[in-house]
Amino acid sequence: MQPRLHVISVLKQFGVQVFAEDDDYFELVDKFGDPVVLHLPDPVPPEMIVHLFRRFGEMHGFPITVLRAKPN
Amino acid sequence: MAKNPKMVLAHVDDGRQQAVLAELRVLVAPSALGGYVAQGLEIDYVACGDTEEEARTRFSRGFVATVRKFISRQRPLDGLFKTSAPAEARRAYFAATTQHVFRCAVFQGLEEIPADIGVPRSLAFVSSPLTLPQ
Repeated sequence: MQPRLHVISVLKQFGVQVFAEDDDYFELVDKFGDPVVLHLPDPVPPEMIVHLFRRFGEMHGFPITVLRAKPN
Repeated sequence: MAKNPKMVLAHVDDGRQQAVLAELRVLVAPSALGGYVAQGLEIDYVACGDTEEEARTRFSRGFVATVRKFISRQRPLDGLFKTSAPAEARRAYFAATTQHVFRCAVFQGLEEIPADIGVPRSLAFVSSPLTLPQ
């Protein structure tokens, strides 16, 4: 489980646009302009961390380790 | 998509109104650290929840919102297929006794249709106890 603030901060740092929606939903937009709306609770579960890496990691050039502020 | 004839993703656009119909298989399974995770198979989309129902609800709401954003940003729906679901999720789905299929209909620009007209506006998870053919 990772702090949401850290996860969002990393995504922004690597160029993912992040827009808060209602009820812990966030619109994340990749560098090509394609969106995904995800429910990101705080803390963020490990399966969601893996999904975020799969969706944005290679495209935006970051390893999964940067999403992990602390070991699970 | 040709490898998976069971999946449905239809997009109709007449320039003023758009409709997207989707049917995809979703693995709903316990999470490693507690709670549940819903993982789309044909479309790599994920939602988590404290309960199975919560994971399904968040999957539904988030996926439909994603489709709406694609439409409002005028992005092709091909963007839903940028990544693939993990192979282990597919294996777990077909090994499970309950196999969830998620269906939704998303309309954009059809607000003028009266509420009592029989246009599908909802979305639903359907659970099948039977193994679907691969």
